[in-house]
Amino acid sequence: MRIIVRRSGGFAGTAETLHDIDTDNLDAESAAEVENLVRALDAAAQDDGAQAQPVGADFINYEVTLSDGQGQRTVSIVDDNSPRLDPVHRLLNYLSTLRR
Amino acid sequence: MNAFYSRSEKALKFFFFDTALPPPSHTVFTCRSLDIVAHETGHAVLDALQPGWLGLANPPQTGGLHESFGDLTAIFLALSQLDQVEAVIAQTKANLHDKTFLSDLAEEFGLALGRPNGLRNADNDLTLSQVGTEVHAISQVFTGAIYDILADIFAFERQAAKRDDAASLYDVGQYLLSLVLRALIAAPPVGATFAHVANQMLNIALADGKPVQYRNFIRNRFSLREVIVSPVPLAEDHDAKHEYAAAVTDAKGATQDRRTCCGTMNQPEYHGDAEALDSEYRELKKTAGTRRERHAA
Repeated sequence: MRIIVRRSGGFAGTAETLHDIDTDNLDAESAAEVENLVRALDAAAQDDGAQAQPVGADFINYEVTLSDGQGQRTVSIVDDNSPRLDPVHRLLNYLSTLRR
Repeated sequence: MNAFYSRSEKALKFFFFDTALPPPSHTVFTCRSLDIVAHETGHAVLDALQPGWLGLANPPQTGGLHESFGDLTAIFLALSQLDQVEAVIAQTKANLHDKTFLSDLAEEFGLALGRPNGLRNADNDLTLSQVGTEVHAISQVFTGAIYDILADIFAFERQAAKRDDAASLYDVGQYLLSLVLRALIAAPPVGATFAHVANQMLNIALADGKPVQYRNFIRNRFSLREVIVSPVPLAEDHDAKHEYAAAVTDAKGATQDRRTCCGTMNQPEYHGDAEALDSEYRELKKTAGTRRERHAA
C-alpha cells in the first residue's frame, strides 16, 4: 500500500507533501501498524463525512491518498483542532518515527 | 503552524511552532503577530457582514475577497495608529511604494518559511491572469489594487508644505477603509467578485462627492489588475454612468482552492485580453509621467 500525506491551506495558503511511503518497503511489523492506522483514519473520515463540516477560514486540510490492489482513494480532513484530527495525528506521529 | 477563524466554534485560534529560520532555533507564536490577529479578526468581521461568502460553493474570487479583507484589516489597523503612520512616513519618505513594514504582512511567519518579505506583500503587481484559484494567491490581486489606490489618493491629497504627511495619510487610510467596507457590504450576498466590489467603490466615491481623481485611481488600478475593463482610455476621467465589466472572471463552475500553494500561478482559463491591457498600461504610464512632470514644474 502506498500512502501519500499532504498538508495544505491554512493562514499561509501553502501546500506540502509530508510523507510518501510504500508499506512494501517496511518491515512486516511497521507495515501492519501503518495499515492499521490508515484503516482507522479511513473509518474516521467516513464518519466525519456524515457530519457537518466546520465553517471558517484558514483551516489546514490534510489529504491522505491510499493506493493498493483495490485502487486509489483520497481521504480529506479539515483541521479545526478538534478530536476528529486524532487519527491523522496518530498516523503522522507514527510515520515520523519511521523516518528516524 | 497556523491560525484560523472558526464560525462553528465562534473562535479565533492561534497556534505556535518551532523553527530554525532565521537562526537560532526559536518558537513563533502566531498570537503575537498583530498582522495575523488582525487577519483572522477580519475574517470574523466580514463573515458577520457577508455570511454567504464563506461557503465553498462560492467562486475563487469570493474566497479571495475574504482573504484580502483579512490582510487589509492588518494594513488599516496599522494606519489607524498615528505613531505607526508616522513611522511609515519616516521609513518611506512619504512614498508608499518604498519598502515598508506597512505592506509586508506577517513578517515573522514569512521569515520562518524562508521568505524575505513577510508571508505576503500588499505592494505587489500581480494581475488576475497570473494567479490561480487558491484563495490566498488570488487575494493578493485585490489587496495590491487597494494598496495602490491608497498610495495614489495619499499622493493626491498630500500637501507637505501645509499639513503633516502623517495626518494626511491617517485621513486617507480612514476614508479608504470606510470605502472598502461599504463596497464589500454593498456587493452581492453570494458569489461576489472583485469587479462587483470595484464598481461599488466607484459608486460610493461618487456619492461621497470625492474628486473625480479618486474614481480614476480606483478604475485605473483595477483595470491594470485585470479586474475590470475600461471602455475608455485610462487617461480620461471616470464616467459616472458606466458600470464596468469584469476583465477576467472565474472559469464557469470554478471552485475555490483553499489547498494549494500560495504564489503566482498561470492558469490557461484566466487568459484575458492582454494586448488591450498592455495598451492601457502604456497609456497610464504616459499619463503618470506627464503628471509627475507637471508636479515637478
